[in-house]
Amino acid sequence: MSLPIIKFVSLAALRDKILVTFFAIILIIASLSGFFGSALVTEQPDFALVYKGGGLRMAGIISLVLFVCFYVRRAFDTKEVEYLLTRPLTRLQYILSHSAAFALIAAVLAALIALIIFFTASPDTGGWMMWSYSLVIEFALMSLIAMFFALVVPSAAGAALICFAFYALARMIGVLLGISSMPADNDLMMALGKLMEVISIIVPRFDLMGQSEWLVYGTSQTGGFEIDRWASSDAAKSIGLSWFIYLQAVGFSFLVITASVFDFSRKQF
Amino acid sequence: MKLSSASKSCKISLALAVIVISAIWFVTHDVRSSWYNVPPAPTPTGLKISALGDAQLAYRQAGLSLQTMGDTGGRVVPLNAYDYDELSKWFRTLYGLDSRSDFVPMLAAFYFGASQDSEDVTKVVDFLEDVGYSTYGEKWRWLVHAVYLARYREKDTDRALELAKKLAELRLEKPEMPVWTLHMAPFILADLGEDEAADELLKVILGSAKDLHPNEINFMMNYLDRQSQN
Repeated sequence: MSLPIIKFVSLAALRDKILVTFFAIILIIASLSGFFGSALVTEQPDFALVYKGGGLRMAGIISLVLFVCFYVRRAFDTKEVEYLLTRPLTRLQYILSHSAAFALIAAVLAALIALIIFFTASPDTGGWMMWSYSLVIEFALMSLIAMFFALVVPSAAGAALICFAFYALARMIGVLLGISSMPADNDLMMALGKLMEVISIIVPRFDLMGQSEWLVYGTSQTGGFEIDRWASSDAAKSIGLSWFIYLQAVGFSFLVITASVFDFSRKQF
Repeated sequence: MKLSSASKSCKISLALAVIVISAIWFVTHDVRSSWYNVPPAPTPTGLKISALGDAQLAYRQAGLSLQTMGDTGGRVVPLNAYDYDELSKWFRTLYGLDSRSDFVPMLAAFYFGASQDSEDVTKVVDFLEDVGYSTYGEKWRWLVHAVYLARYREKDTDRALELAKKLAELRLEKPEMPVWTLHMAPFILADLGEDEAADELLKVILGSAKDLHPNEINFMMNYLDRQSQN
């Protein structure tokens, strides 16, 4: 890993004014959440908190994915990649350094959101800690996934769109697995269910992370809408949610970084 | 010369565009969104998908929709124009997503429960009765609202009495419920003209309840005393 590269990418993020832009987005979303929350007949702080948490998470993911995809594609277009590879830097080091830099930017954005939530709303403290921890991991994983797609897809806009679709799939995968585990009344549905299960192997369970429910009620009382696989898996239950989130982060980071290294090492310049 | 010609055609195009959008405005400015009554209730899975897997966000988004349903775009819909069968499905779907929040029961009891159509109120009472049995927190309070709505809005005293008896039974499981939850059945009985039964029930409460506050005892004694004078 190369520290100068990490510093270089972080400076690029500052130069692209990603933090300044994100501050403006935070201001807009926080105001809108407060406005819509105050329109409700009761539980206004809970409504505002959930809207704020959900809105900022979505805005954070969009900002992060757009930055990573456009940064990586720009690096190819301006021959920055080729220049850096002429330096004493291996392709593996290049990917690892960029992974670390993108994960660092993701963690800063997630921490910023978590702090805004903590200081502008009244979340359950234990739930907020778990939500923030899982948000950092969710953002870091998405930054790596965005880097991978930006390396593979030659268009920045195309890579960003694929990332958004992947993110939506990862957040809905629990519901989709629940549907696929229902008894099918024909062979086609059964085959599609099996296909979904195969696809789900390479899709992280983001639906188990960053749940707004934790902000309102904490993590000790969750379970109003249990996910079948999670609820029925004794192994998952025994390791606990925080360990599950951590292990998922380790497993998927390894997969995405390995895939990125594999693709990058085959590229011809 | 060329620049001046381009500038002239640009001005003409701009004037044409203004005329066209003005014409569009004249045709569309009084078009309003239509209200086709309460839309079909979504499924919990559908709601969860719409909020990208976040059940709580789905609940809060749909909660806002439920509250503003009908009353948007400068339109106010009277309560008796709502399809309460469909509304009832909305209540239950949302309650299934978050059974700890009081938002939906409150909206049902205090807003939709204000309908002057007793059949509509029946559906609200049915929902509040189900919520009232929840073991979480103080949900029994919604059963009290169900008793009130059945008695004064639905004007079905028998139903109110049945619910009040269920409320009293619930207190056996939840001793932390206040003693006044036991009083509702005798007062409804008195309303039905069954004064003797009401008095007997109050006497049973006086004799069996152990944690009565002195004020509660005084209130019941006073009531029985006044009843005996009548």
